[in-house]
This record gives sequence, structure tokens and C-alpha cells, in this order.
Amino acid sequence: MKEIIERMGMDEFVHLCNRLVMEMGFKIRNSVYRENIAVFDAYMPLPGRSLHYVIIFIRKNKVSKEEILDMIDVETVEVRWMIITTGKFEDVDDLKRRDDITLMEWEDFERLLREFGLEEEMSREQRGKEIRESRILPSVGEVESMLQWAREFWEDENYDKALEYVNNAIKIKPLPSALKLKARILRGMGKYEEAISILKDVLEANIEDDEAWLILGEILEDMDDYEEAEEAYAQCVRFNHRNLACWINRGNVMLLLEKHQEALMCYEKALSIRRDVPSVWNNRGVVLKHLGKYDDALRSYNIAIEIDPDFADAYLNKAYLYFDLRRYEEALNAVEEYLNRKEDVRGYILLARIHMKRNLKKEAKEALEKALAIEPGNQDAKELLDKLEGRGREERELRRLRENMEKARKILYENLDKLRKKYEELGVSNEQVENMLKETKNMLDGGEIVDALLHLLALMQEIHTLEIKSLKNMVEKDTSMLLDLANMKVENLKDLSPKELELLREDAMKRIIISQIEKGEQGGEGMDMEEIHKLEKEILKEVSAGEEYKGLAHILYEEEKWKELRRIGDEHAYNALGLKALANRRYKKAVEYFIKALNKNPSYRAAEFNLAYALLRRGDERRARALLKHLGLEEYMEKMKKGK
Amino acid sequence: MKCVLCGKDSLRPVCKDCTAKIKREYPFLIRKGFLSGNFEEDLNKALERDLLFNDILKNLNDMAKNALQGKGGNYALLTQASLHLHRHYSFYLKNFEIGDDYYLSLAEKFSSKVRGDEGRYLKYEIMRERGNLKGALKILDSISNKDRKYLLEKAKLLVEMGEMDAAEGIYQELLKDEDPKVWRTLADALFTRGSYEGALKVYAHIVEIKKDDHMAYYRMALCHQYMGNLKMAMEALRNAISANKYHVESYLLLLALYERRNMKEERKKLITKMRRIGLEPSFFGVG
Repeated sequence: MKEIIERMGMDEFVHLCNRLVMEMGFKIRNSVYRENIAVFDAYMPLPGRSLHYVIIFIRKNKVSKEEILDMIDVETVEVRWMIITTGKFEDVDDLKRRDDITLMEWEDFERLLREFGLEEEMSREQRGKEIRESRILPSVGEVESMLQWAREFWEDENYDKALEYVNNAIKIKPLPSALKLKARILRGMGKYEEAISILKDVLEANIEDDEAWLILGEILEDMDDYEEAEEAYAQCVRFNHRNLACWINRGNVMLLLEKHQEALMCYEKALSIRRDVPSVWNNRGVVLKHLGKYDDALRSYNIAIEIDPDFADAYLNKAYLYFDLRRYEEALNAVEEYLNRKEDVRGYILLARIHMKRNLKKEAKEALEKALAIEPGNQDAKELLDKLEGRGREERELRRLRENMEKARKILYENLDKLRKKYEELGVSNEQVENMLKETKNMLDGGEIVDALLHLLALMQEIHTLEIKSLKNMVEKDTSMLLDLANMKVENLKDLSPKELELLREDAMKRIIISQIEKGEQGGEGMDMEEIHKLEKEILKEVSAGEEYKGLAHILYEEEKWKELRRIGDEHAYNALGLKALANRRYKKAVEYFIKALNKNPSYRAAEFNLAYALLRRGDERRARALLKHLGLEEYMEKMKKGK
Repeated sequence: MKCVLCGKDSLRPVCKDCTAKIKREYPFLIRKGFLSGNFEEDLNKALERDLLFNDILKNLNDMAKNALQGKGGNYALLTQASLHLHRHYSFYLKNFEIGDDYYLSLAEKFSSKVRGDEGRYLKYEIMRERGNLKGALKILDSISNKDRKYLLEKAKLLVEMGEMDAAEGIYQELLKDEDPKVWRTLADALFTRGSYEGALKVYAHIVEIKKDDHMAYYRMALCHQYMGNLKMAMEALRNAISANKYHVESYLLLLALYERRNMKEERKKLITKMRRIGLEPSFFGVG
């Protein structure tokens, strides 16, 4: 059997692996192959979840650990690796111990082929022919698999990923189901216009597609365009009178539009299709209440509860109904049932209202405190609590203002402390600042917040000026020393800006170095030769890697002086070496150099662009794309691929 | 020191003679691109996006060479190219025995051939680059078409000069129609001046108008960081990442802040997130 596999063309080998992966129960998302390696991006569907696997087949007699590590990303989480070879693995004991890696040698591979009935197929010429001639284009099954993934991502609200998969499926075949799913995903992303445009295309191809009308209605509802949404739902039920979701949505829209009679009709229609949906009974109850049919409404809520005793909203609506009818005892029972199932603000506020009606102030207060614990800023709860405690709006405002003033005072104290520390660290004495520090503290103690704030701002400015002054003094002193050494005279040193001082210092430094070298060369007074060479070396060090001669490496690259170039260790040097490696098609090396360049300077865009190019050449499209996306140059992905 | 090209004594890595020789053939001094590949790109776009591929550089050098020999050319484009090189590649000049403002001198030469308001704008930009803000303002005021672009430039310049009252008057006029681009100019100007509190307020307004403006969030984070409010900085960075999940700068800063605050778990999660979308943290020296 091994001989047959070794004789196979790569296409045949990939098809064989493809079949084996599918027979093993995996769903394939994507596959690539090169030379003697086939890689399958797949998942194993399990009830309620799925496991992501990358399965790699290597047709080779010996596979080393380095080769494996070159293909897999051991740090990637949530991915399991299955590596199957026609030969043997070498030196992989530590990899075997990992839970996320499964290694299979020829014996295992052969066993799998036998177990899944592929051995017989390979040995029969006719079957072999079938394998050879089997599909190259993705099958309907694969499209369905992509759509399934897209659906799962959509349900998990991972819209970016869902969109990626649905787009891939559409590229293969723009099935209406795929287009509708895309519209749903775009809806989830809030890209309503784009979604509507897709739905229009679907409806142009088939005006009777009720699902497309339904999605259109939902999008219009999201856009708060209830009239148009209602129109879309009307079209939906026109083409499919038994679309339950549509009747429910239409009823809800009617309710929002306060067309209660029409809403009731929609819910009745929905119930004629299915009678066991509690939310429909519940909504029907709401409509009946609006129409003043309280007994019918109550019956409707009770049916919802009968169908699903845990359907909390029906209890709440029932409680509201009893409350409106002033049947507080029954309202209390219903709201307690609700709170047993769902503890939320609405429930507690209603509970408080019921207690207030029954003059149970303590209980009402407790309920409101619970509501505020869930949602501290809830205005209704706050107002009810104030009403309960007899407080007016002005008193509330005053309390809020007091609290805020206290907070502000605390912050000002903290800032004052920070400024005091800063001043002390400066090590200078300034009477004005010290007075201001005292005054500000007195003001804060006395509660004069506004004055204290103004003082604090002035204080900040003063201390900042002191800081600058002290720094400038230091720089002036330093510059003056350098100027003496360089035999330079500048009279207005105090009038110069920090930038001008910096330039002056640079100039002085250069003069000192040059004069010392000149003295040394002339054999005159000054440093001895050893010192001069040391100094020359220092300067050359500056030339080779220093900040001053940034980009020198690129000149050496232009001149093809590789030996000198390698001695420089800055980002331009690594970038230049990477460019050379790229030109020589040594992509792995190129990647290494560009990473080094980026490590030296993570904002070096050229190195990042080059790294993307080198990664793409190595087949790492995912990382290349991510870098290009960061650079805002995603369109270069296609250009690079074409260049390939 | 010795010239790296000819070995003669030199004050800089490339001596005067070698510099002159290169300059004759390649007026922009850079002969090969820093980028791999040689993709076709429109010259203006290439400058705008800093995509100086080999052919683009060759075209620009050839065009500049002809223009300097009096054979004509697209002077406006050449001025833009000189300004671009001055802004992004002037570090390169330190390797040559040549003035540090060589690219600006080239820009001046080319812009002198550009007539009308376009020429005046270019001269204004050069003057600004030279740090002569008063001179720049004078040129800007000589522009006859006082349109929105003029107003925006003037406002920017006034902020740079510290003339906040005058700038505010223009901004009030410009900001009537809530254009995020204008807000951005104001915010950036404040940020560059170091007025972080003011910049922060403007960036916060920008994200209200344009919720997915990751750069505004990122700058907000920088403002918070400079003001010592790391918690808010982290929040802004998380917003920047959710607005643009490929914004590496935000990831790197957030990772650094997590590290500073010893938030190991969050850091680990963020690294995993980067990896999941293909941004390998080790490329940028972290992880």
C-alpha cells in the first residue's frame, strides 16, 4: 500500500487524504498543499461545540522535529494539530507528550486507511481512476460546510468571522440561502444599507422569497422604520401565509404602531399556526389589555404560563394588569412569581408600587433599594424612594451637589500633595511657592473650592516654571563647560532656547573631538596615539550604529557593501539585509531580518511591509494580511500575490 | 573618518566628492527603495502613502534631474516629493557632506517654478518646515482664494504659533458643520502643542461623531497616559482596538500599560487576541 501512495501524483495524494479526513468525521474548511505536504483546516463537530483541528499529511520517509515546528504554531491556543506521515518521526518525544498534538507514523496511517475502507479503493485500478478524476472544484457539501460555520459564528455574534465564511461560500456559489445569511450577518453588524441591497438582489431573482421579506422587515424594524417594516412583513405572509416568525414580528410592529386590533389579528394568525408559543400568548395579552379586554388578557397570560411555567414576562404583565385593576394582593403574588424567575428593576419597582399602595413603606423601601442595587442610576426608583422619604427635587439636587463638592475637594487635596512633593524634589527654595502651598491648603480646609482650584492652577504653573528654570541652568552650565573645552565663546548663553543650546553643544563636541585628533596626528600636544585610536574607534562606532548616521546601512546596501553592512545593527541594516535575502529567495532569512528590524523599531513601516511580503512568499498569508491591514495597505495583498 | 564609498578622508560617511557624484545622477540621493517588490503606484499616491518603490524613486530622481537641468517637469510634484523626503528621510542627509536642509532647498528651487495659489501653498509649507511661522502666515495670507483649505491651514498655523484666540475664531466658523476632519486638525494641533486636556476633549467629541475612529481613541489614550490616568488610557485603547482590531500601536501601548500595572492575565489574553488575528506580538518585540 505504501508503494501505491508513493507512486501517486500529488493531486491523487491530496484527494486520498481529503477522503480520509472526511471519513474520520471531520468537516473541512480549507485545504492547501505544496510539494509533499497536504494541510487541512478542519473541525470536528460535537454536540454543542466543535473542535478546531489542523491536519497535516507529509509524504516523506523521515520527518524531523524542526520540520514539524516550522509548520505548526505551538503557541496558538484552541487549535489541535494532527500530523500524519507515510514515514517516521525523529526526535519528537516532547511533542508526543503535548495534549494538542497527535503524531501518526506509517503504521497508524495504514491502519486508518484500512479502517475507513480506503485500502481497497486504492488497490483497484478503477477506484484509483475515480480518485484521480475526482472533483477539483469545491462541492456543494463544502459550500454547505462553510455556510454552517458562518451560521455558527453568526449565532455566536462573531460577525467578522461569519462574514468571512459566508463570503467564501458566495464566491463558490451565490446561493440565495448564502445571500440571506450574509444579509442577517450585516444586520448584526449594523450595516443595514448593505444588507438591504443584498436582499433586493435576492428578491429581484425571486419576489416570492418570504424569508428575504422577513429579514428585510427585521432590518427596517431595527432602523425604526415601522411602517416600511410592516409592508415587508405583509409581503412575507402574502407569499407564505404560514410564516410564524413573520406573523409574530408583524404583530409586534402593529403593537408599536398602536394598531391594536391589527396586532391582535396577527397574533391570532400566529396562534392558528402554532398554539404552544408562550411569547405569542403573552403579547396577545398585552394587546387585549390595550383594547380594554382585561379578562381575555388575563386568560392569555395564564395560557402562556401554562405552556411554560417559567415564562417570566407573563407573570409581570399579569401583575401590571392586576395593579391597574387595583387588585393588589393578586398583583403582589404575580410579581413575586416574576421575581422568583427573573430579578430585575421592573419587577422591584412594581413591587415597591404595590407596597406603597398598601402603605407598607418599609417593604417598598427595601424593594426600591434592591432595584437601585441592580441599576444604581434608575431614575424611577430614585424618584419613588425620594417620594417615600418625603424628599423634594431640590433637596435631592443639593445632596448630589454636596457629594460632588466633597469629591472635588478630595481630588484637590491629592493634587496639592503631589505638587508639594514635586516642589520638595526640586530642592530649591521659593517663598512665593511655599506661601501658595499654605494658602491653597487653608482654602481647601475652609471649603473654598473654587478659590483653591484657581490657586492650585497658578501653583502648577509656578512649579513648572521652576522646573524649567532649574533644567535650563543645568544645561547652560554643562554647555558652558563644553564651550570652554572647545575654545568657543558665546556671550548670550542665557538668551538661547533649549534647542539652540543643544545644537551648540553638538557643535562643541565635534570641535573637541576633531581638534584632539588633529593634535594627535600632528604629533603635537594633546592625547597620545592610543587615546586617539580609542577616540577614532568611538567615532566609528557612532558611524556604524549610532543615531547620528541613521540610514548608513541603506547606503551600504545601495553600494552592495555587505561586509560593512553586517557590522551595523540598526533597523535599516536589518531591513537592508532582509531585502537582500528576499532578492536571493531566502525567505526564511528575510523574515528573520525584517522581524529584527521591527523589533528595533516597531514603527518602521517599511520593515513591516517587507515582512508581510516575505511572509506571503513563505505561504503565511494570514500573518501577511494582518500586517498589511495594520498598514492600511490591504490591497497590496493581491498585488503581492500577482507578483508571486 | 574615511568615506565608505571611496575611502578618502571625510567629515561624514560619504565624502563631498562622492556626495556630488551621487547628487548629479540622483538629486534625491536615495537610489534604491527601502521597500521590497516593485509595484506600480501613482506618484502622488505613492508620496502620500510613503510607498517609495524602486521605480517610483527612479522616476522621481529622473524627473528631478531633468528639472534641475532646465528641461522642465512637474515642479509641484517635485516640490511635494522634496517636502516628503525632508519630513521622513532627512536623517539620511547626515550621511552625506551636505546641508541638513538640502531637501528643503530642493523644494524651494522647484516651488519657485509653480505659479499662482498652488505655488504659494507650497512656499507656505516650506516656510513652515523651516520654522518661520510668521513668514508662513504672510505667504498664506497672500493666497487669493480664501477657501476652506486656506482657513484650515490658517487655523492650524495660528494654533502652532500659540495665537489661540485668533485660531478659535476660525475654528468656530469651520466647525459649524461638525466635520470630523476639522475636529481632527484641531485635536492634533492641541496634542502637538502638549495641551492634552484640550486635545482629549476634542478627541472625545470626534468619537461621538465617528464611533469607529480608532486613531482618535488612540490619541485619547496617549493624552490620558501623559496626564497620568492609566485606567482611562487602557479603556481608550480597548476602544481603539474594537474600532480597528489591526491597530498594532494600540495593542503595544495597552500591553505596556498592562505590564506596568502588573495585569498579567489581561496581558496574556491580549497577546492571544493578537495572535488569533495574525498579528504576531514577537514581530514587534513583545510576547
